[in-house]
Amino acid sequence: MEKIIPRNLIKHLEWTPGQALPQPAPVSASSPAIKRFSIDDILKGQPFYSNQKDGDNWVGLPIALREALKYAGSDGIIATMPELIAAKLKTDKNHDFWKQWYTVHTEENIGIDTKGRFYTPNEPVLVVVNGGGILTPDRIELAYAEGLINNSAKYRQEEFDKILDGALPNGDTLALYRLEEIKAGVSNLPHRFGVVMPYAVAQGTPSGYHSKEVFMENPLVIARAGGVEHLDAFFEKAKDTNDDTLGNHHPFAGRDASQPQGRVLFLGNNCYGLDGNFNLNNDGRFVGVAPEAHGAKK
Amino acid sequence: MATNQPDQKQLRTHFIGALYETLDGVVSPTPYFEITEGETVDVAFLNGKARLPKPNTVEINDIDLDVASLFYDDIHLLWEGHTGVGKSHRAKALGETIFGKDGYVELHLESGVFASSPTEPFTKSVMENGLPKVLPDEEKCRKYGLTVFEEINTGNFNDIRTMSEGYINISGNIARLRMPIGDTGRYKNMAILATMNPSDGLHTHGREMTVAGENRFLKLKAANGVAEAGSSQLEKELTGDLHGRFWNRFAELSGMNGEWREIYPLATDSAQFSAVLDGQTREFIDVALGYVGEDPKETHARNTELMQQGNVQPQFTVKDDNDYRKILQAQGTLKHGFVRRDLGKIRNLSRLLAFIKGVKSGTYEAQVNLNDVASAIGIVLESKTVTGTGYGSLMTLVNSALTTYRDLHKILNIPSGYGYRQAVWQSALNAGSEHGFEGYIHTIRNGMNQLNTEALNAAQATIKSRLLADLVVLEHFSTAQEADVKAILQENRGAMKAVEPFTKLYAAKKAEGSIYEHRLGSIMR
Repeated sequence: MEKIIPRNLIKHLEWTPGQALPQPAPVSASSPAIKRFSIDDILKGQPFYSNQKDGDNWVGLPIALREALKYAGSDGIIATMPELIAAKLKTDKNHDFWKQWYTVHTEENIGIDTKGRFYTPNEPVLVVVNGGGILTPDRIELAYAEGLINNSAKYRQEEFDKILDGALPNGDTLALYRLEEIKAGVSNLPHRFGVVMPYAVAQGTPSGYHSKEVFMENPLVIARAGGVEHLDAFFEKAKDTNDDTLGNHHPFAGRDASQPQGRVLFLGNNCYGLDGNFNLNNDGRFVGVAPEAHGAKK
Repeated sequence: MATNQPDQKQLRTHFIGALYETLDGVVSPTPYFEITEGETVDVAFLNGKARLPKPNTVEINDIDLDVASLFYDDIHLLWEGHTGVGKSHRAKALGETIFGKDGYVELHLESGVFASSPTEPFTKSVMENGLPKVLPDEEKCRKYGLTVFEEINTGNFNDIRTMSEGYINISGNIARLRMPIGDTGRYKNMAILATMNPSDGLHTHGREMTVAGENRFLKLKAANGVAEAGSSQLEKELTGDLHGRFWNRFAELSGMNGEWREIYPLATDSAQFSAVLDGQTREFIDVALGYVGEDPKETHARNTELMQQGNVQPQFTVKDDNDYRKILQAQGTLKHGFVRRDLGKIRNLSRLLAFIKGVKSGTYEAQVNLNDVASAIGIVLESKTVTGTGYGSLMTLVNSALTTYRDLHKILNIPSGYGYRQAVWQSALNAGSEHGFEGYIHTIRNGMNQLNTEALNAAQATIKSRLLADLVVLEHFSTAQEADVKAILQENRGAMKAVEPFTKLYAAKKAEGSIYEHRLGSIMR
């Protein structure tokens, strides 16, 4: 066989002027930090709390987040829902993580996937983003200024489209997984990743307190926790021992996803569990983890 | 002197024809595996149990493998099986038939004077300063066409190792075990066949071969076909003048008379078959090894490391799911992973299988295709399993890699016989001839982007990670040598002209990083 391939057979591979410039997905700016923080590092993280008000409005959440981000620096992280769950499992109930509720660096966004990137075209989807997505402190404050919708940030369609494309406002990339993949198990998930699920499935899950069986099978719980790996142990450790239940709360009943919107998640100190029911105009308490402060793995 | 020398193809056709005819009355073939080719390939290990013939299916038996191995100097078969299944009988029949009783050596490593030195048949004793000294005997080193090592796992492996490489080394005195191939100036190495009993409770004298030992042989599991062949084996006996019968029959078919030492090296000359694999088969070897012989996650992680060095983040991963765990389970049966020597084995075994298929189809050619490579990888992998491992699970991995690679190749619309990386590189050279370096580099990036999409399974993620990482290396190399690449694109319009100067540039600059050799070598060759 000739070593040179006839051009007409591979012409389709050639770039031509006018064609969109190929942009190889860049390495996420935050990805170097992904593997550098262990759960022990997160356990040593610093809490950043704010309950400030602007008039009658609670505005502490973006303030606490901004302070946590400043503390963490470009190489640090803010604990996400999966990370905080894992950290709580590794410590006893004397740790502050079991004494206080926390805001996690995990946001839930709803909207329409017009292109059907993950499921069918024009299907409403829920996108759970860990490690920072649309809701930066500035964007949250902009949402306050523009007026919230259902106590959530009102997004522009292009913001939601970009998230679905795995592109973040700061130019970083976001690895997105379907719920089914997360449920099947994805190992070595990065700090920053997202889970996409049909919104109807999220809406269909009960909001409130659940028995272990219901909690473990709850697709919204699985999406929020980044898989099933820690659910059993977390349920046992966090449950209300009076009735063997643990909470998972959401505001999706009757909520229309045609207007894209989002808010951040909270993790209750004990049996309140995973929560997306708190308004975006709220207090905030984040866990910042900075490498220099905690000797994170190099 | 041989007379009426036919051409090479006729020579091997008649040699093999006469050999099979002669052996027909001596040994009963034991089916080894079956290769079914169509849209996909399937290699089924038959373990002595033949199947009803089907279209597009070739059954390969132990005699086929032994005979074909004679055509490749660097393939030595080691048959592992229980006592009495016929390993030694077949080797002896082959030796006696082709080389006559004096033309082959049978070494029982467990007993006799040869136990301590398998080189003894090739040495002589001389007196030096009144003391006896053992030296290689050049005449004896040219005398034998085949050595059969019986129970190879009971003897000292040091001398066997050198013999497997075609020479003996007696206290620093080296002699090659080979004979001249006519007047070609080339030599035919002494063929080697080996047998061993498994190191199990029934064979307490045997032991597991060392990794170094097994790497020098292609270990195959000798099946016990007696229940299948039954009474048909009763008439198969090593009697009469097999050697005379064979060479007389060969003379009848070919019209060529001569001593076996003249004809055999010509008929089985390794140089008659091309050793070069095409771009597609080479690429398949590159991508498959990281999936079937290594932990796919580790392969993916290694390739991701390279991609990230090139500022590319893969959009796919190897998931820790049942699929992945099954892969690890299958790989858990491996005694040891792939080593450099295995690449040669895979290449040669592919050629050997292609040749057997050529013999079976009557073409007597050895055109290696993707299926041959896949089959060879599977067989080499299976030969590395710990004793007692059942057949098949590793072949399933190979088939999975093959199907995935084929699908990818098809989706990306790459012409048959060429690799994806090769196609991207050459199309970049073509684009560069019209649109300069920008056209060149964007075509490579286009090629990268086409790969950097979600993966459906572990095989796809692993294979894509290798291809993508290699293209990242190509992009890096091209950018680092931008001025030279620009000059090449300007002076040589299109891949037809630019491939050669680019390959020269690669050869001149590859020392700047060993990663270039590892990742670009198979694309440029």
